[in-house]
Amino acid sequence: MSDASCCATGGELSTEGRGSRRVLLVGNPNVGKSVVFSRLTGVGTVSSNYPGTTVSFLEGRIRLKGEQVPVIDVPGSYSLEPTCPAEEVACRVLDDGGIVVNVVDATNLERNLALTLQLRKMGLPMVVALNLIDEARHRGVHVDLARLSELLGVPVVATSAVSGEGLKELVEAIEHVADAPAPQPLEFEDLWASVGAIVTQVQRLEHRHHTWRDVVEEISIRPATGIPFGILVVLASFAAVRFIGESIIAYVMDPLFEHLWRPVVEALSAALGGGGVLHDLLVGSYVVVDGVRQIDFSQSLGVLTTGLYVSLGAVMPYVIAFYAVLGVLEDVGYLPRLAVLLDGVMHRLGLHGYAVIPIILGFGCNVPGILATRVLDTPRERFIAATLISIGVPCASLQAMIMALLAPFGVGYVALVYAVLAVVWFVLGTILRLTSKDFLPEMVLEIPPYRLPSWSTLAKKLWMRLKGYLIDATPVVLVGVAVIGIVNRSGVFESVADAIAPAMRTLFGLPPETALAIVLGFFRKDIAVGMLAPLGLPPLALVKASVMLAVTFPCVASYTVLLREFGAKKTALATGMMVATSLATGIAMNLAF
Amino acid sequence: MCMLADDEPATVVQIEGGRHLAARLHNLGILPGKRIRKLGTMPGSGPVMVDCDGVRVALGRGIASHVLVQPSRDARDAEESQQ
Repeated sequence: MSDASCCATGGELSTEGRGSRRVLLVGNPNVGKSVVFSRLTGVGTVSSNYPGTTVSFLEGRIRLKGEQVPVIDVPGSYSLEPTCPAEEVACRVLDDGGIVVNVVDATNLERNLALTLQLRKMGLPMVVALNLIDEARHRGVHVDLARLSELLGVPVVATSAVSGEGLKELVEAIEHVADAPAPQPLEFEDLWASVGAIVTQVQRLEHRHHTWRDVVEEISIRPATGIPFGILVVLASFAAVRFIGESIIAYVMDPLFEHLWRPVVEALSAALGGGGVLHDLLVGSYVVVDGVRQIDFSQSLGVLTTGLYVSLGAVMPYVIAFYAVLGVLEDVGYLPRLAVLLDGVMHRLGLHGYAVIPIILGFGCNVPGILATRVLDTPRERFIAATLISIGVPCASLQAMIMALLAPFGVGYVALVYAVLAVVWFVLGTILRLTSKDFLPEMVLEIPPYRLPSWSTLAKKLWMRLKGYLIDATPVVLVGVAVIGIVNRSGVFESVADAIAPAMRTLFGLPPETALAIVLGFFRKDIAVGMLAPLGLPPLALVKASVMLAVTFPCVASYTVLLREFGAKKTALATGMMVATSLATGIAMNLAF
Repeated sequence: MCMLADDEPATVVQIEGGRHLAARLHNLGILPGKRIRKLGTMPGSGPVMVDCDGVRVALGRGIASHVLVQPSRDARDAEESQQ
């Protein structure tokens, strides 16, 4: 699960979800359980081509002979002897019983069957879904379904969840085993010997020629070619995000706001008499731009002007662009390769390479990034990764606003913000590594094969993430702008600003007004950056303020997740580090520039 | 495994260390008797890349050093000398 909008389903199972009258989807990581789940229940999930997308369990329902039965998507697990937190979750869910649907990767039968046999030992009612069957055929892997079913003593159905093949048969098989008596537990002496024996009886491999996929796979995984390839992929992704984001702003959102929305707002302004409390709240104040007194979407600070423009006009295009590019990288299966390439670098920060994936998710929104740290092996790694994400990883909203604010002065200033953040990151990571001495487990990671992404899956995933942004973020921005408008009139801001002005000036060399923006950043980072726009600061001061906004505190949503995932004590520790980091960074920047 | 040359096929002989490590590697299909091919080592004390039955796996160096392998060339030599 890597999406803010589906956090609600990731907590505890409903009471109805316990007991034997339920369906459990169990299988190795990255075999397509989430796609099967989504197909069976119609509940949208985020699935990707790398292990560990589902780190908690999702619950949906399926109709079995007219009866609604809960379906649980259990996190991917290689074995029933847990080796990581996700596997512990899986074991706990299985202990309560249910009808097991074991999703098996047909291209990789040998490794997958180890879990199948362990499950069979439990003697629960069970169906094996031989998934990715189309890819197996394509690769010349032939499986004798009847023989496999006979050896395992449970029904085996060939499926391709992405295309929908075999899912009807799967449901029929589930209905069948639900009413049949539970099968006898399968006994075996040596797990791997039994797996080997089954595989030799049911699998036939056809010789196949090297394909373009094999070539690209070799290129991206060998050090000599993989590193340049990785740099190229990262640069191309950044360029693509910028290009898509800017194009949506220039050709869609800006024209919509200027030609369709401006007349509406102007009419509203006139109807409200051009001033007054309600006018300032909804429309905001008139500002002088290019010598003309007008409503300015980024500076007027009204709910219907700046509020809507920040969330839909400035930030949403980059949210779309970021998740479109991320979705392609995820589904193609590139991210684990990046994790391998960066493993050496990440070790210097007390993490191992796989932490790259939560961090990259954090660039979209810190909340799913922090949740995704669950794939990491030890509490220490999880804490370091979550702290680094909340301090040094600007989310898409913040990045979009920084781009809008600084790009007009030159891309160099935008690059400077990232460069400073990178320095903060390495210094903080090194400190964290040195201070929290603990055993760092080494990487054991399967690199999934490249897969051609399905456009409909990509579109569905993008839509789910965008919906999450619209539902979670947009109302907060609108309310935030309204609060700023009201407080602005009360004069509270001025007194707060006056109180901390000397500190801001002497320590960080920033004008006192920026203090308000940084305090408001706790609410939402994008409105805070929006507040910097009307101040007319020189570009270097904007760079400083942007970095301060990024490092000070994560927004309130990320904070809630930190608290839930790590508890009060560790969150307090992280908070201390945030305060120290922002002070140190502010002072250092003031001395440097 | 760390000393194996790139692209050199070999057979896994033994996995040293605890049961836990052996179980984790088994989960990925790396077990004694399996033929593997080393693809290379990432710089900066990065992981060793291995191909095992068409599955590509990244192993940290410490872990890789616990996997004892026999290069296929040696195995063939040994067979020949026995004959």
